[in-house]
Order: sequence, then structure tokens, then C-alpha cells
Amino acid sequence: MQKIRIIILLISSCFIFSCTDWMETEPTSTVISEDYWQSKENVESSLIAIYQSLQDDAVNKMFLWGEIRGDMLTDMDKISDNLLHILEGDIEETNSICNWSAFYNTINYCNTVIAHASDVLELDETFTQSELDAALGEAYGMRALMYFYLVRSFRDVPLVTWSYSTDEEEFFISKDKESEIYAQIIDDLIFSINNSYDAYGTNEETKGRLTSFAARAILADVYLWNDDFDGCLTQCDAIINSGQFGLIEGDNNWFSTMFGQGNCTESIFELNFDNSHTNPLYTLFDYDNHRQLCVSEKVYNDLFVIGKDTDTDSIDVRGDRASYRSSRSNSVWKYLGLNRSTVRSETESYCNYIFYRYSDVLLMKAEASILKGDNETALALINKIRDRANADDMTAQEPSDKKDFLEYLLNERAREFAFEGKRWFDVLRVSRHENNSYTNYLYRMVKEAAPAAKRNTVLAKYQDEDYRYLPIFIDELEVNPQLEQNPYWADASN
Amino acid sequence: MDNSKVDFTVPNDSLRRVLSDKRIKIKQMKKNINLRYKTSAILGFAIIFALVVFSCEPYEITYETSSDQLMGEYIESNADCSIFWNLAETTGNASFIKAYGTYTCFVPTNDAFETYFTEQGKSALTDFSEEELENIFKYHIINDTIRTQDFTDGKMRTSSMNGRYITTGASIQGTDAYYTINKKSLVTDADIMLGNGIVHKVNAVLDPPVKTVAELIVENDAYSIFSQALQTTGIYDTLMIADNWYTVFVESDEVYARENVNINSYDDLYNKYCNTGDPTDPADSLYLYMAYHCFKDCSYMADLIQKSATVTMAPNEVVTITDKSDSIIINQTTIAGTTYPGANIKEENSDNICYNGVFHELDDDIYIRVLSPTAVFWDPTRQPEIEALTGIYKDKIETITFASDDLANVSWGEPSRWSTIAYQGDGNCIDGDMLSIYLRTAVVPWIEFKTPVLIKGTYKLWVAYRRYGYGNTIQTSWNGEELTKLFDPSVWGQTYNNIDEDEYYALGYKWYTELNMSSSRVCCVYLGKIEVTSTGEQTLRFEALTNGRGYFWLDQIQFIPVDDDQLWPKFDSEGNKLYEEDLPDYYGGIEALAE
Repeated sequence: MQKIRIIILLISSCFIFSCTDWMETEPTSTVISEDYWQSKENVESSLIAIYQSLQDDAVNKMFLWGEIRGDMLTDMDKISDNLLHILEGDIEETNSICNWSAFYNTINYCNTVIAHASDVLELDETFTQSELDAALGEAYGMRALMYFYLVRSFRDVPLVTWSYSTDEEEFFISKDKESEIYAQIIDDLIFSINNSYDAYGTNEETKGRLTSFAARAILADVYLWNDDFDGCLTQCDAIINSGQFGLIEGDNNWFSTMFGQGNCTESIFELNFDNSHTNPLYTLFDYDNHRQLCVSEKVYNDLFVIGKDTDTDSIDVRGDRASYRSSRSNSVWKYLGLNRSTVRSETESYCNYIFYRYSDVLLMKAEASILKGDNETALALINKIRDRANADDMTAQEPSDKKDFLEYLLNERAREFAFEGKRWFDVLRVSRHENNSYTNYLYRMVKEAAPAAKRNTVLAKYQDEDYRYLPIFIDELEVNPQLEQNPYWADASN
Repeated sequence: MDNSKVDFTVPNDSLRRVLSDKRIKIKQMKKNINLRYKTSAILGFAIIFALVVFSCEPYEITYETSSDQLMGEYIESNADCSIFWNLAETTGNASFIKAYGTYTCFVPTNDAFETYFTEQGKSALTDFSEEELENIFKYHIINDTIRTQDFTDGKMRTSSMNGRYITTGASIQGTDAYYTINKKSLVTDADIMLGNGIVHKVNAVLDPPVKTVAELIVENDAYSIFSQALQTTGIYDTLMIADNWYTVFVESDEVYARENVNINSYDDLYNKYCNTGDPTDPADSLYLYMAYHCFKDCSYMADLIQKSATVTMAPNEVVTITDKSDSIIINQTTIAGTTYPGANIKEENSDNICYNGVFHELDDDIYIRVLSPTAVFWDPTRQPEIEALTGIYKDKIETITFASDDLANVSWGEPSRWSTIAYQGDGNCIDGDMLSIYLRTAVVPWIEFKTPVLIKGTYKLWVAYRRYGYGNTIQTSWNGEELTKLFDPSVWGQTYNNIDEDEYYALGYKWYTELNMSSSRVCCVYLGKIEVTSTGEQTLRFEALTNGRGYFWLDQIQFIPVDDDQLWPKFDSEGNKLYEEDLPDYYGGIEALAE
């Protein structure tokens, strides 16, 4: 976390790179310090900096932590060793994919706003209390989202709720329990829901910045992870009943509207990119040059299997030419395609990274409904998603018990949110429900995804619950003696 | 820190490993000095790295080693490992694990030794013979550096210093996962990086195998019928040979007793198979049946899944190996539309380590199938990688290009970047598609296919192509042997109304499509008689002898047993078979069309 200091000094450089128009806020100072906080423009700039700080390493990690341990990606010939090791089930503390520093950087931005925005109230009379509350709501919400990524990936992590603004402070902090992290996340999100704006001045900002609805979507997800199904349903219903969102048509424009252009009516919250700051995920999937990852057989043989009698006009809109592209080396099309046919060049790789969209809310509601025994609601919601997408009947299931329903839900989520950084989190979350009652799906997944000669070895590792959370990256342990390595890697046995 | 200068001459392939080992060492050194001053260590590593990257083969690297503890020193100083250290000293091996080298050592704790002594009915090391001790020690040490991340579900990549393999795996004990060695020994402390290698502490002594495959099978009461047959056929004696490696698929009495097998004693097995009265005769069916269960290498489960088939000790007889992610199936095959289910390896009774190999228990009977040859009409676009491209494979509109690495069962010469082949839709072809191969000496000089499984026998080989405007002379080879007949895929086909079918056949051609597809654009040429000596996949190769501008547009390849009808069935546009008896008035039909 020492790197935080360096980043603070570099904050000015973040401002120099503009993102979408609304991100083109001019910096007024080179260092964020006590005397930086003079006007409401400073507050606004600091809020924008939160999003800018996610555009490089953080978005990469959000995707990889949520996807790479799943079963939907496989290696291409130029894959990096770090990616390959995790893909093959070997996770080591020396693997920089486990480096969380980008998240603590962003958390520090949030904490800085939280600590200092109120100073401006006295200095700038155009800055109102309600604007301050909204700014705080946005910062609290983003902080919660960062911790949510950390807690799902690492379980226990250090909880930092104060800001660092000087280079002198020491950062020797120990880990806090998962339950304490979640308690903080929930507090932050409730504050955020009550104080954030419902919308901003432009559509780009409304989708690209945290709104009260985004906070609700995150909270619904958080509740689901904590088996608070009523809490989840309340938040989902609030979003559904707001009338602000809906499913877009599952036609030939589905892909270009949702992913090619982004910020569509179905979207609740997405990290925006534009041609001045491109999406780094492109370099994971680009099949011409970088050639690191492409889709696994599971995707085209199981998830989007096409029946022999399916005519080509009625195939699942989410499959070939949307989630992946079979004729382009089975590449991950969501980050490469401008539309169903045309590929982006590297300089055009500014598709957004979607955190939450309306269909996610519907399927979160379905999951909570299954666990509350309301199969009818769940099935209706799953079918709504399937019908919209023209899902192939070959992939329809007729679940009977809770376990089958959850498996159907996971399969449908895999189709709906393919490569949106959710697969591993989904499978892990479901496995945790009702005191780890649904681990079979996870076991089957990791076994099938493992290299053939290591299947049993990889399975045995994942049967150890501690292995389902990442190790703390070795550099962090070295700079902070208070940090204890996560149990699987700390045990002498491993 | 006393730094000693050491010369390493590292063979190319182990360079990376050594590098990564060095890196770990540096990492740990760093830890020991001071956590906050890591920059210099990283810089040091960068310099080492740069040195290595820019040196030429062979990699003669000279660099400083740290004062890292050596394996011998580590073990000696570890009170918990004193018996193992004792073992090293008694056997005179203490000095070499204190010298520089690249070893992996599995060190059993003292508790592990105490348990081992009890199991063996001994009380101390002194109760073992010198030879036994040497064998035990050398089984625990490998002349290679193997970290846990290189462990698989099978045997180590390098044998132990006594020449025998140990196996690795992982298992869950309570809530914690452990790496396991030889299934029963848990790694309690892994990847201890030392100056001359890696130590993994284990909680049970690794018992070096001393019995052969033959002995261990016969010693097991559950295999009495199989054992007796091993002995009466004399294969037992083969499996006793210590210098070879063997893998055996064993069947238990329980499997034999099952209804579908119904062999309840050795006599039943003898009566079912022995056809010469002398089971030691290599031509006797009982001998062949037993030989069919054995092959000559050391294949653990993790090795088996890397193979698709292996030749058994029964001459020319192959067992196939199918890898389902939750099991390995032996002899599951589909021949001419019939699927034979095969037998699963029972995971709990697999990977039984023997001195000269390994055996696995099956859950069903496998035997040599006596099958008569059956015609195979093969669409060479049916490659798994092409079929996986569901969108394209179904609509047959897009043309898609492959490089030789892309298709597992097809390879071709690639002298230039244009040396690709393409999957292409074409309405004149059966099933609406074909492979487009620019088969000319300068582009794709040759192409080689692995065929589907063919049953032992003699066949006639037919190749059906979509005619291209320019031609080349093509040489065909069958399992490495050149056929005498050459062909040119620019030769026009004849239509039904031009020539009589028998006459056409006499010229070495036939019609293979249905009437309404009949056109001179497609053609099916007879290339000669071919022998399939061993049931299984075969190799078919086409080689260009000329360098004209002609493509080879390959539609279908037919293998028809010599005694079968060579003209029927024909195919409709969707690839369905059409039989003569269903179309009695076919020629009349032609005349009707002509009118």
C-alpha cells in the first residue's frame, strides 16, 4: 500500500488524460492536500478521479478476479505466465494478478473525498449541503464497490476508511474479518442510496457514475453474498419499480447497442472509456497481436450449443457474434466487436466495462427467489431473460429442486453475462449459499476447466475452502509486516 | 554472507526452471535481510536476468550463489528429520546432498519413520539391510528440481535416483488440501527452496516398489481368474522382466462374474477363448486375450489421457483411450455407426505402482473385437475443430482458413504463409461443404489426414472432389506407402446421360451424388486397393507432384470393403445415404429427365 503515496503525487497526471467529455475536468492543483479543497470544482474533479483510477490495472483485475478461475476462457499462444498459471489452477503469492494495490489507490481517492469534501462547504458558498451529500454518497458507494471486489476475491482484507495525504504516515495495517468488511460495505451503500443522485446531467454520466440505483444494484448483490435474500429482493424491486430501466430488444442490434455503443437503457452502471482512454481488456483478447485468451470449448459446446434443427435466424443472440466470434479464433467478442460483424482496432477499443445492468437485477431477484423457495417467480424471470435473447431450446432445463434451479440459474447467468467478469464470482457465491451447501457445481467446473493431467490435483485444492480466495501478493506482505498471508498459502501444509 | 562463485552450465530447456528457482531464492533472501530494502534485490535479479537472456547457447552462466542453506545442512539441522539424516549418513549419501546440485528430496519426518518401522515389523534403521536402506534413500530423491506447481495427477517427470517413479496428486484431509505422494503420503511442508534443490516434507515414508507387475497382480485375491490366466499363458513371466516397463489393465473376479461377462472361474475363461488347447501359443485366442490387456510402457492415469490409443502386446491390436473429464474409458469406439461402450478405469484401483510398471483395474471386460470390415464414407470437413465453429459449420456461408496447427488430425506442409487450407461451403458437394486445399508443390505441397477408425481388412479407396479449373498431378499414400494410381482433380466428371455407369466404373470413376446433384462439376475417382492391418485410425496423404494453379477441392473419401458393392449407396445433398433398392428405376428416371 505504500504505492498509494506515489499515486497521490501522480494524481495530476490522471487529470491530464481526459475520458468521456464529462471526465474532462481541468485540474486546479497538482497535489491533493489540505489546501486543495477550495471549490466545488475541486470536489467534482476528485470524484471524477475515482473513475479514472479504475481505467487501467483495476478494471483488468475486476475482470480477471471474476472470470479467470471460471471455465469460460482458455489460453492462446501468447498468454502470459501469470495468466496461464491461474488458468491451470496454480495460484501463487508471487503472481501479480493477485496485486490489489489499484483498489486501495481508488479507495484512497474515495476516502480523500469523504474526509475533505465538507471543508469546501465553508469556502465555496455555491457548494450546497445537498451537493455535498451527493458527493459523499458517490464516494461511499464507490468505496463499497472496491471493498466488494476485494472481499469476494480475498475474503479478509485490511479495512481503510481514512485518507492518506502525506508521505510520512506508516501503513502497517492488519486484515479485518470478512464480516466486518461486509458490514462497512452495507453501511456505505445505504448511505449512498440515501444521498447519491438518481441521475446526472447527461446519459453518459448517469450510466458512467455511481447513482442511487447503482448503489442499490451493488447492495442487492452484497445481500445475495450474505444470504440476506429479503434484503436482496427489496433492492431489486426498488430498481425494477423505478421504471428507469428495461431490457433492450434481443435483435440484431442487441450487441451493438449494449456493448458496441454502451450506456443503453438496460445499463445501470458501467465504467466508461473513450478514444482518449481505451479499455485495457482489449489486449487480453485481441486475436491478431496479443493473443492471450479466447473462449473455451465449454462456451460453444455447452452454453451456446446449437441444436441440429435450429435454423440460423433463431439462434441465441448472446452466442456467436456477441459473446464470442467463432470465425475470429473463438475470440471474446464483447471487448473486440463494434457490432456483430466488425472488429474494433486497438485505438477504437473503448467499449465500456459493465458493472450492473437490468438483466442482472432480474437474475439476482431470481436467485434470491429460488433460495426463498419461490420457484415460480424465479422461473418466470429466467424465462424472461431467455426469451429476450432467443435462447436455444437445447439449453432449456426443467429444474425440480433447489439445487437444479441454482444450476440452471448459473448456466443462464453464464450465457447472459459471458465475459463480463462475473462467472467465478457467480459460482463461488452460489456455492456459499446456506452454509456452503452448493459446492458441487464449483467442483465440477474447476475439474473440467483444469488441464487433463492435473484435474484431481486442482479439484482437491479447490475443495479446500481457503483456496477459493486469492493469496495476498508477496510485495504487499513485504512492505506491511502486519499483513498475514491468507490461510491456504500461510499453512505449512501447502 | 559468504558468496561462492559457481559455474552452471545449464541445458537450454531447464533454463527457465533454474531461473525461477533463483528468483525464489532471491525472494527468500530478501525476506531474511530486510523487508523494506527490496529494490537492490530486484535490481540484482534484473542483472542476472539480463545476463541470461542475452547469452547464447549453450547457456554458460556464471553467477553468484547466495549463502543459501544446502539440503544436507537443512536436514541435519532439523531435529524433526533426524532419522532421514541418519539414513543419509548410513548410506554414505550425506555428502552429496551437501554439495551443489539440483535435487528434489522428499523428507519423511521422524514420526513417519516410526510408523514405517512398525509396518515393516522393524524397530530402527539398523534392522534393514544396507541394500534396502540405499533403495529407500534413493527413492526419496530426484535429480531434478520439481516444485509443487509442476505436480500432476500422475508420475513425476523424472524418476527417483533408484530408477523408479513416484506419483503425485492432491487430496483433501478434513478441510485442508494437501499434495500427496504415492497416494498415501501427505506433503506437510512444500517447496522449501535450498541452495541445491527443493525439499518437500512428507508424513509417511515412500515405500520403494520391489515387486513386479506380475507379482503384485497375482498376490491380489480379487484377481484370481486374471492371475491364473496370466500364469497359464506365460505372460506372467514376461511381466516379471525387471528391465522393461509394463502397463496392465486388470479385471477382477467381480467383473468376470457379472451377467454380461458370465465368467465364474478360470475354466470358463479358458473355455470361452482357448481355441488351440495351448494357451502359451501366441496365436491362441486366450493368449491374445491376455496380451490385449498389457502394453509396454509405464502409463499412469495422467499419461493415459494424453494418448488416444496404444498398441497392446497382442500383435496389431489397439486399445483406445477416451478421456471424459470424470473418467477414463478404455475401448470405447464407434465403428460404422455402432458405439461400443468400453470399460472405465476404476479410479480408486488405478495407478498401482509396481517395480516395473503400473496396473489399473477396469470395471468391465475388454476383449479383441472380431469385426468384419465395414464401409466408411468420410467427409473430411468433419474435423472436431471445424464442427466446433457452430455458426459457420451450420450455415456454410463463411469461408474459414486454418493453419496446420489448428487441426489435430490434419497436417500439411507449410513452406509459406499462404500454406493454409480452408473450409468452404459449396452447393455441389455433399452436405454443402468441402475442404479447399491449394495442393501444389509451392503452396501446400502435401496434406495428411488421420482417418476415422477402420476395421482390419482390404478396402477400395475412392476420393470425391469438386472439379477445379486448373489441375495438378496428385500422389496418394496409404499408411506411408505410395499408391500406383495418380489423379488430377481438374478432370471433369461425367453426367448420367453421357455414359453408362458400368462403363464409367471400368474407367475408374463412379457417380456418388443423387441425380439432381448430378453434374460434371463433381467427380469420384478410384485410387486403388488398400490394406488396413490394424483396426484403428489410419494415415492418408496426398502429395502434389506439380505446381499448377489448381486447387484440390475435397468433398468425400470412401473406404469400401473389396467385396462390397462399390457403386451404392450414393448421397443426397444433406449427406443421407441412398440405396439402390430404394430407387429401383433410377436409370429410367434419367431417361425421364432427358425427355
